[in-house]
Amino acid sequence: MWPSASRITIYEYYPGAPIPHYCIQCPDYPCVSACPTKALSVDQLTGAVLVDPSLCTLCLKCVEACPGKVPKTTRGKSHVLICDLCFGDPACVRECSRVGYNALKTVKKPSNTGIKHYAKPPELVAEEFGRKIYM
Amino acid sequence: MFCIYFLGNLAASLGSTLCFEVSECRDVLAFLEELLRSRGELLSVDELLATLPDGRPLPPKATTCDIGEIRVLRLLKGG
Amino acid sequence: MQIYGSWGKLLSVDLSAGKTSEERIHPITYRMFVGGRGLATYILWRELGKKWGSVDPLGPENMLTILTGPLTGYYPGIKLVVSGKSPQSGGVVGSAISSHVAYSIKTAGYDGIIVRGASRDPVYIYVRDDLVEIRDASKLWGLKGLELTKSLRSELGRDAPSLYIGPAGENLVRTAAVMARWFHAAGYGGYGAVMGSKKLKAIVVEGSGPLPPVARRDEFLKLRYEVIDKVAARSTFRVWGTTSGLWRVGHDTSSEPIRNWVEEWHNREEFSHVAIEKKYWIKNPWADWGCPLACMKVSKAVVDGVTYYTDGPDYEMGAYLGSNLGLFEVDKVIALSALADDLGLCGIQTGNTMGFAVELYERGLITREDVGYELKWGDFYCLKRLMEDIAYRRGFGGVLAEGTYRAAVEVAKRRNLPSEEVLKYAVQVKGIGVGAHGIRSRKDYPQPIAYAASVQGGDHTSVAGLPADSEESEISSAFLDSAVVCSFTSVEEETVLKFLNAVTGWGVTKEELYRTIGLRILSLQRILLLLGGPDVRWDPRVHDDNPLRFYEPLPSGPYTNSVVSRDEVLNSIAEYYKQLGWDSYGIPTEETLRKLGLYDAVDVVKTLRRELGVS
Repeated sequence: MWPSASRITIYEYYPGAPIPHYCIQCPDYPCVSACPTKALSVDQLTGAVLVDPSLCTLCLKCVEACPGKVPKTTRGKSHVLICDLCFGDPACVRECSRVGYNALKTVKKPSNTGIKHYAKPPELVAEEFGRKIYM
Repeated sequence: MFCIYFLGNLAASLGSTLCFEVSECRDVLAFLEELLRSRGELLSVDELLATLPDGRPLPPKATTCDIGEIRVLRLLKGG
Repeated sequence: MQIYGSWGKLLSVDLSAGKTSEERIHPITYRMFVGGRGLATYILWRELGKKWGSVDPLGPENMLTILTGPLTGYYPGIKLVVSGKSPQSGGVVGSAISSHVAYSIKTAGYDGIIVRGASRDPVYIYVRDDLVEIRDASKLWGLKGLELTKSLRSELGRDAPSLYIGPAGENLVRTAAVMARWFHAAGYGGYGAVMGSKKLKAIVVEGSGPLPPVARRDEFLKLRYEVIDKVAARSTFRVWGTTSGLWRVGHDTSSEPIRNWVEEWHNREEFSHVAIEKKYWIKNPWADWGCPLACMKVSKAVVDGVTYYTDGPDYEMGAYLGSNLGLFEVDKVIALSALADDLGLCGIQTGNTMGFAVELYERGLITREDVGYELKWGDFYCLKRLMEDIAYRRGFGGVLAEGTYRAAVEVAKRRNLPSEEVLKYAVQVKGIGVGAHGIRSRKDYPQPIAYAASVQGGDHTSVAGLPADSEESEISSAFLDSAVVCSFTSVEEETVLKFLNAVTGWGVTKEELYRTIGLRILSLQRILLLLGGPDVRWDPRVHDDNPLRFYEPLPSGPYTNSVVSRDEVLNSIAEYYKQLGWDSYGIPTEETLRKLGLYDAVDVVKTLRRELGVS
């Protein structure tokens, strides 16, 4: 088990307001275009961003380009980590459903471009939460 | 015959061993819960641990016909 | 020697020298003491045992141990154990706390952190994998929990798991807790004050590696899902958390402290989980990393225009900062609970001391002249003020900041009374206020000897009970705190043992747990508790007993007149000690010590017997 290698990260800036943070698959995939070594590609079936570990140089241009600052790095992995949807059957969704929280589920990717709105760094999401509930 | 061995304060309230003639096969936990209710013990089975006499877990969906005896104690110490 | 489930390595920080290093723990030591509470007891014994009686818990020679166990990160639920010589009991208390620091210590490559010495100026420890720094905390010193969490986040640029103290710990309040994630507390033992004495404001740990390898991966995965499914099915806990205790314990089993334990029963529907959920919960369920139970709930209340957040209030906070103080207005109980969190006070110990103080006031043993204001049951404003006075040691708060036992002795001294005359209102055992589960109705879980014979005094999470070789025994708690497994996610001991063996590759049997491993931990804890010092010394003939209040019949509720007798308690304690292989004073016999491999304890125990005059 390797918590920091998980492609989903939970932040919590205010008590009781967890913010799950992971790749939302922007329609225009800015990370893919920003990658100078073509290490990133889009999975045709799931729409997930796939990382080719042999091409990634950890230059972090993808993080710069990502509106949510999603790609992660961790000790012992020589490439960035981006949610690949576990090839269609995400382990996080499985675990979350198994214990009955049902906070995560897999959905069909919406065709509109509105989903990009959800690609935000956790601190911005927290700020919105904070304004609504905690102020 | 179906017997229940209670430990700790449950034994002090209910007796350390209770045995019953059971005419039908009943779910063990449902049987236990009903017994506790009828004796005025307002505990939920969530707060109890029922095991086989040697401490091994009960088989899933065990009935009073499958097993002859269980051991029951308070599980969650805290709260 | 290959080791599984642990790294065999601790991070050692010497704050006097400003140095850090790694410390190896031999695989056999793990096999003998498991981890968590057991390992803490061993380390403290090895290093301080010879001079235990003279070690000041709030001096630089005391150690602060932050330890995980082999099941940390693997078994669902995420706890670590804080320990050291306790400023409350003078013994060793394994103080478990749910914290993300538990898995981050392991993913940083350590099994725990040992802090020795004391810094001159405020510092915090920062760990990121191999990087270990002792950093300046002068800007953080004085901050309360909420502010500190924010400041640490802006200083680090992100969220990082941390353990910290509030002003109470800084001011060496003996009821101060080590805190985590706003509302979590390692309260029993008073280790917040130990951190404060070391000028250590926080420990921040970010680990990015994997957990250590497990011995039998397939079996482990199978067991993990078996436990997850069992625990996730505990619907009462999932839905209501321990808050349900405010009705189930306070009303049904009649074992909740009310006005310093004068009563243990209430019939107030507004003071129940059902009423609280409707009005105050803003988040349910709420959980820590990997927990399939989610007993926590976040509540919010506004009192006099101030917004307060806390967890629950969970049962202990509701009982000790509510009913025990005669306060049944839930919004105000939430406020007191939030305030205790923010000040870094253990709500149980502090609520115990506050209830004691109100009763003394009512009886005229302390007056307005002592306190500076009137103390009244259920009066939020005086109670809030009293709690703040304790945290900052202001005025009479300085006396109460010593905890119930020491405050009682001090009040008696000031009144020229024999200390028994004040101690009879102190609901504590060996310096530790009794948790909110009474013994008089016998409908709750603690047996009549639960606290009197416990190596952790009034700690309701480590209770003694007969038979000594069953889950009713304190060995069971010592084992869970060593593995380290949360008592709410624990299942049948057989399964937990299988889990432990799958992770570690050991072959621990139930027999070994009760006759050797668990008994070894408990015996060492018992010896250190009796060695005590420097300001307290417990005599088994006097102090292996219940608070006097527990011998008064219950005055109200469905179990009115229910009582325990001292004779019964003393007989049961004798039987319990006999079953453990201890003598009638609860001192492990020479034969038992040899059997446990604790040869170096044999002479110590001889001296102990001589000093107690029982050789």
